[in-house]
Amino acid sequence: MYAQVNKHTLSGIIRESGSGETLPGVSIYCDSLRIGVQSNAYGFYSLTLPEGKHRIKISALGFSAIDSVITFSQNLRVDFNVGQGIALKEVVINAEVKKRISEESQMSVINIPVQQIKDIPALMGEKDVLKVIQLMPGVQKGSEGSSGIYVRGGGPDQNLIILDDANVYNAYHLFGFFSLFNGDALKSVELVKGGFPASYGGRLSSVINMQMKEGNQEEFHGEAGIGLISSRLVLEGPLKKKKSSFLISARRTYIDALIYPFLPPEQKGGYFFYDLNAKLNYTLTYKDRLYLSGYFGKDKFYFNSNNDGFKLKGNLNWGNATGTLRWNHIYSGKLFSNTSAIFTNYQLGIGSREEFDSSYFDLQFGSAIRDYTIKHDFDFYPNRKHHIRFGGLAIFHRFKPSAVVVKSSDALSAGISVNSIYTMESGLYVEDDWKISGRLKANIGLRVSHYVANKTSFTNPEPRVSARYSITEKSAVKASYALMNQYLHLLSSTGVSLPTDLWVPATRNLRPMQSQQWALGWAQELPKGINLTIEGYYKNMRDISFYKEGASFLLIDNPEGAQGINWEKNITQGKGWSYGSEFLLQKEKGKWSGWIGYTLSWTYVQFDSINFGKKFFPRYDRRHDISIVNIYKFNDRIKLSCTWVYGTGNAITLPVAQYDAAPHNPAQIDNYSQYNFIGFRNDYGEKNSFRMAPYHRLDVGIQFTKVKKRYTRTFELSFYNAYNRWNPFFYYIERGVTATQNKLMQVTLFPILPSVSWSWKF
Amino acid sequence: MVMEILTRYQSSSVLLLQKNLATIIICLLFAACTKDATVKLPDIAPKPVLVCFISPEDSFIRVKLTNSIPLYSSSTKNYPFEIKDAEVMISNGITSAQVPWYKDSVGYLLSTSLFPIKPGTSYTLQVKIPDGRVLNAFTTVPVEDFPAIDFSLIRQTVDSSDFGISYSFDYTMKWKDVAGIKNYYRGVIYNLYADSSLGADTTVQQSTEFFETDEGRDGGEIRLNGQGYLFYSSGSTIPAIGSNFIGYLMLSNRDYYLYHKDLFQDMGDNPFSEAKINFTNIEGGIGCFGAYRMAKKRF
Repeated sequence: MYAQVNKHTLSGIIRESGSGETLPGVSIYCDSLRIGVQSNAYGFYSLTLPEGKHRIKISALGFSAIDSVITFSQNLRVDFNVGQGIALKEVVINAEVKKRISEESQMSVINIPVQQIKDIPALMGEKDVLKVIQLMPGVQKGSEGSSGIYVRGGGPDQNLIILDDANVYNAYHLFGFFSLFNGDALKSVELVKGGFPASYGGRLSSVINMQMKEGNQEEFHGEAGIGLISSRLVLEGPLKKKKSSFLISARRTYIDALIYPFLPPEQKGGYFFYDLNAKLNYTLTYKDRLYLSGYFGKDKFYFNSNNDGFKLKGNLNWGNATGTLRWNHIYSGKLFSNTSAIFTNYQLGIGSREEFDSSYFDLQFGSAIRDYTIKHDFDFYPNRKHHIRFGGLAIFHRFKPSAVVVKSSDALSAGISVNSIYTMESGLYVEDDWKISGRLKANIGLRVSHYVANKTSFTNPEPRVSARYSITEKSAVKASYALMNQYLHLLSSTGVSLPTDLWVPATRNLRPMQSQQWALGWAQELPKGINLTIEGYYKNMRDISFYKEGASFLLIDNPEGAQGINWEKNITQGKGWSYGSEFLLQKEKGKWSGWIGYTLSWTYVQFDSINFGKKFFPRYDRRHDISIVNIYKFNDRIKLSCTWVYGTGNAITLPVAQYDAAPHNPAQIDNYSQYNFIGFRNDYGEKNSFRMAPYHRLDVGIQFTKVKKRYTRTFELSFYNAYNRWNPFFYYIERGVTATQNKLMQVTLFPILPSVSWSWKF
Repeated sequence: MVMEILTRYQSSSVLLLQKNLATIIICLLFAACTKDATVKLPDIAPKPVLVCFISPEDSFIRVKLTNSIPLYSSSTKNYPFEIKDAEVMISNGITSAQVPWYKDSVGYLLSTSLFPIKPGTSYTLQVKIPDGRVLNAFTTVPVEDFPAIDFSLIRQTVDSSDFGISYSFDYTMKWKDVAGIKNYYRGVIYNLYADSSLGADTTVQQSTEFFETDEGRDGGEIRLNGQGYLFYSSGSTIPAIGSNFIGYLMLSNRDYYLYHKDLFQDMGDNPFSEAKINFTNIEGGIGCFGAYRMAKKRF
């Protein structure tokens, strides 16, 4: 017979000391009982323990660990400040404690330290979150320089990119070469490739969840940077000390200003993009906190020409705007909630005007998607074996797939707009992170998604399971299953990520996409803080969408027919399969840090109306993908980093022959010859049966940091493609008079590109 | 209306922005480097290309037979472009006939008075080339009685400028779909005009080509708008505008429809568009053996 032991809850908020920034993903671990939890996205934690004295270890990547002895006889709230400061008297700094991969039940999740994003050399010196994510196993990039993300055989539309709870639809600048996220304003970046918790839904292949910093609550700070193509500035500080703070981050390119003087007067044009992130937060009470954050970004390309009176003006612009209002409330030491109201808008505009004398022709094309979302999430910690998350969300989408307005001097003016489409997407979820025994831990969840568009609705249960079984103290085997539904489709007629790619909703004729993914993995902690992860996965996808061959966002199928304006008829749906294995050897801390990632994978797709119904490799199928990332810190002043990547070439369709494809010419009905020669056509052979040359590249960067009295200055010199590999961006045929004179030419975008940048932190 | 305008202008600013968008911008912003590709190229032998469309409304069965030309191969010397010595047999399952070689640029020709093409009948075509290659194809002639076409001019606009004179014609073509079966339509409208050296109506300029199915409109009226455009520069002889338009409507089988639609949508060598693999229903080669019914209307 055992005496009844009272249990009490230790809860609180984990913050970064010095700035007051709340910290997600921090491990809170009770050594004696061998149980622990992680702080949630808002830094909240809750741990139920027996009455008495306990040693609590707090550890987070990139921060000094805290080893604290706490005695408690009642429910207690303790807020920890990690970093350089010490929150409690009993606390002892212990740098050995760190987050353990073999403890987590979740698999296929990678947390990317924001500092590493800043350390890794980048194209033209522009630090980019999505480019760093591309270096992880299981993630592939689309083409040279592109920020497009392809996760475990999924397309770029199958990634849920979230910034402070807001969906971001087109996360790219400069036609995909840079992403919207430069790291300056970010606090955390998490990539989920599989084993999705039930709290996530709406996309098939991955979740990239980014949280913006809140702003320093203690004192004013800033960071400014000047690079080859852009400059940036971040300012943060308290509005009311320890009560509220702000952060504002801005970036703008100056390519347009640099090239303008060199353009001839009759032909002017340019391009720029800018980003603006802003965040405010206010602590209402001990238990309530409000956050208001937003992102605004725009790209604009424009040109004007005047050739002997013939004037041509054109522009292409696109941009995102997001806004999130969040309210954190702590009901008790066991129950935390967050409520968010979110606004997202993406729009694309194309304008063109031709003028000659008094005649003109004007064309404006527009496309947009706008979301209003309400989201309510709870974290409930009933006891030390369970961490239950539950909640729901509703997204009200407004799609405007295309709108064309034409005006001209010859009275042929008109406008047409495909009617806006309103849809509602909602979901309810519950998941339990359940410590079943000392060795077995599982995350079991269910999400029920619901979608309504016009008179069509879909309801889909989505079971999610992931589990780990500890083999030894430092190794575990993990497995997961996830079923995902996606009610949006992205239509792209090109192989590159362009802003003209259209987001369209599922409808009665365009079914939602669905995927199922199974994964099995091994996690091993090795000496010297090195982690090894090996995972294998199999994923099938159904009702994935693609433009029918020959259709695109504006060159519609048949401009004169009724189906010409019906975008649904230009889309075909099919199936996809992907399987492979991933290997990641990672060292997160120390003088040397970095990782080696390798992916071996196969991806196939099949559409009834493409390639005669036969399955084929999509463009981004990649057999081998290797990334080696090294960051070496010589001392506090010098840091060297280098990245080497290798990938099998993209699968493309290459013409192999030309032939006389004569059409039936009915006007020649009375002559013998109806089959007039109208030019040669290409014979392509099998779809995507040709492989581009393998892609490989070495980037090297060195940072020199100098601490001055009032600021810290960092100078970075980096070389993108240091050994000047001519990687193919695309191929074209230079046709000769005879077949023997034909040549396949390759175009390379980026030879070796040195760049320099300066930044100042104050 | 907008679609008409888009059609008219799609060769200018719209296509400039849409088709070449990425190319233009990339070329402007970066000094891209070009060199010979260093990948192993496919070395394939030429494939036989067979084109044959049969119709009860046509007086002949015409077969065009050529070899494809590999793009990166030198193995074409033993393969003539036009194949003249093949044995071409057409069969309706009961009887068969040889389609004999006629002459260059026409190909193989057989009068339908010798081998009639009948609605609703299936035909096979077999080609044996002396080098051993054999082609087989199969097609079925649509059975429907062809609907009457209503073809009318909506508007004619004449624009005069210092550069010359232009004529714009807006017209409409409509017909009633045959209910109960999936129908495929290809329409071609030509401008005809007099050429003083050749006589009236001898010069034909294709104006519009369209493709339609009756999906969602089975048995209903199908209406299409088209536009003709003629331009004569200053100083040139402006021909008399007479009976200007002739419209052909082909009610075809799926093979004929898909083959022609693919040709119409061919994007050429644009590296930024998904390559379009053209339709073929020729076993042992490429090309099309298709069938159609045809009606025409002139005004």
